[in-house]
Amino acid sequence: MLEMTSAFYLSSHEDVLNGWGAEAEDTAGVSRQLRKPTILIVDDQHMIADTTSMVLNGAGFRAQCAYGGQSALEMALKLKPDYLLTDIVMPGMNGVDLAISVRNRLPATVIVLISGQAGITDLIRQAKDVGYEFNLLAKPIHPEKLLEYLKRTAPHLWL
Amino acid sequence: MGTNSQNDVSLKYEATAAATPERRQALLAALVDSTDDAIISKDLNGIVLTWNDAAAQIFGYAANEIIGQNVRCLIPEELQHEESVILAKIRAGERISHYETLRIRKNGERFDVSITISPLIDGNGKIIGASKIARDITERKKLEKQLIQSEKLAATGRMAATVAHEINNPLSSVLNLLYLAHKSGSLADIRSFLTTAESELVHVAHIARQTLGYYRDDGTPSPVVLQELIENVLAIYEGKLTSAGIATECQFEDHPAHLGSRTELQQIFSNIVANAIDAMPQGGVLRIQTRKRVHPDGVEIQFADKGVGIRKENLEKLFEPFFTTKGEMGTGIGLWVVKQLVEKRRGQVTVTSSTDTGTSGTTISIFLPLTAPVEHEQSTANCVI
Repeated sequence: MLEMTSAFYLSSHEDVLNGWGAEAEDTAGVSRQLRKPTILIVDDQHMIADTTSMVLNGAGFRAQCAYGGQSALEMALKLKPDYLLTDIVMPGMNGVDLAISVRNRLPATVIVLISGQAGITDLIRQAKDVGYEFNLLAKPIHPEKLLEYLKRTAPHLWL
Repeated sequence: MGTNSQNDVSLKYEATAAATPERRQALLAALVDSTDDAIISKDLNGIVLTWNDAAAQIFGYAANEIIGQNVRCLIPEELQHEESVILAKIRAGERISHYETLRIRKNGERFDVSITISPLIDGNGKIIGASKIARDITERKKLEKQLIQSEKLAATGRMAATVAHEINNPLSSVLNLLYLAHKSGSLADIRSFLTTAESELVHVAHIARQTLGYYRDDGTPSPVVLQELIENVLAIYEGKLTSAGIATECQFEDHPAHLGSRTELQQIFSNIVANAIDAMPQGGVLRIQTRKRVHPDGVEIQFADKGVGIRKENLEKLFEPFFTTKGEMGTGIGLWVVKQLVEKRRGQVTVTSSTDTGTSGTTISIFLPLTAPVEHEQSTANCVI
């Protein structure tokens, strides 16, 4: 897999990646609907997580990313994001297990699973069997379609 | 019945109901004629002495047409040397068991047979000829070919899932990067987005090229550098290896290129690597070694994992078709195909494994002789059993 050697484009967008911290002052005391919806993006492929973050940060979201299920769970509990967008097949904790944990602890978080692999439908079905229904998108997805989907899934965040 | 009292065939049947020698002989003769396998006897010059009903059925010659003729008329021209080797072994009192080869029917049709040949010994212990049992294995061979073909499709399907993952991820990044380039006002940023997108696509092209090579079925032998082929297979499974947390360690010794079918060799290695990945769901190390071997000359390729290991009772069935420990996910023919393909080139596959906690793991060794002989080639002086 290609090493992410393109650190150059990343560094110029550090503040975009860390979108959360930058405009924190705006959010104090402002009602939920007026601040940017927050999203946690999880993918073990750094390139995907980072570029998706950049796309969403430029489109009205406040995005942060994690590269594994366990670290994502820890971040999510701290930051209580409006959305969780996660890949499924990841070493360690997979996306479905992450989704179940987040659903249990942060019921208000909108969860979207995204996967590049056929055959993960088994995991989805297993989750369904124990009562969890998750939205599932297929990779690769056009950024505009992703944006449209996220807004459509939680319109109350975009009033 | 037609049994000559001179040919007292010392077949070791238990004649349960027969009381007299005549009844015993009658029973044996009936047995010989009731079987589906051709049972033929010949003298030490290869002249056909007896010919059962099944032989007539399989070869197309009636008994009176062929008794007294040389059995060589059943052997294809390029395999005539087999008969000389067979007679030599018979004279030396040796037996040939389940030797698979080709024979010709009366109508000229060649077909696959499995033959077992034993010395015929007279009452005085002297070798006077040979008894041959020939089974028409055309159907079995056809079935095996179909099985290999269907396994290849299944393996292709498995690879497709891996490849889809390998391609979908870079494509996701590319879509994002192009979108970002679109939206960006900075020329420098646009350039860097495009450059990154380009590298991702180059990687995709590489994966696509590799796997396309796998689908194409030529099977024609060409010189294959095994090390390069193994590295190709590892590249295809790279994503799966990384996400399973499996590291690979390769030690390749220099050896001459192996003459063989690239796609078949790729299938062999691909199946073994896929199994190793399944054996280490919590991660681990896959060690691959190639070593030059002599007498016979060839290459030994070893795949060693520190996975869960194979239980003793399963080891025996490992290469059986349709035997799997992977429930619905397993086809059960991956290793069977490996064995077929390896033995097709007169190679050898051996497996050692341990399930003891702490030292569990499996090592699969494949020996490939230096030049894969074309099946039934002329130069082999030894009719290997």
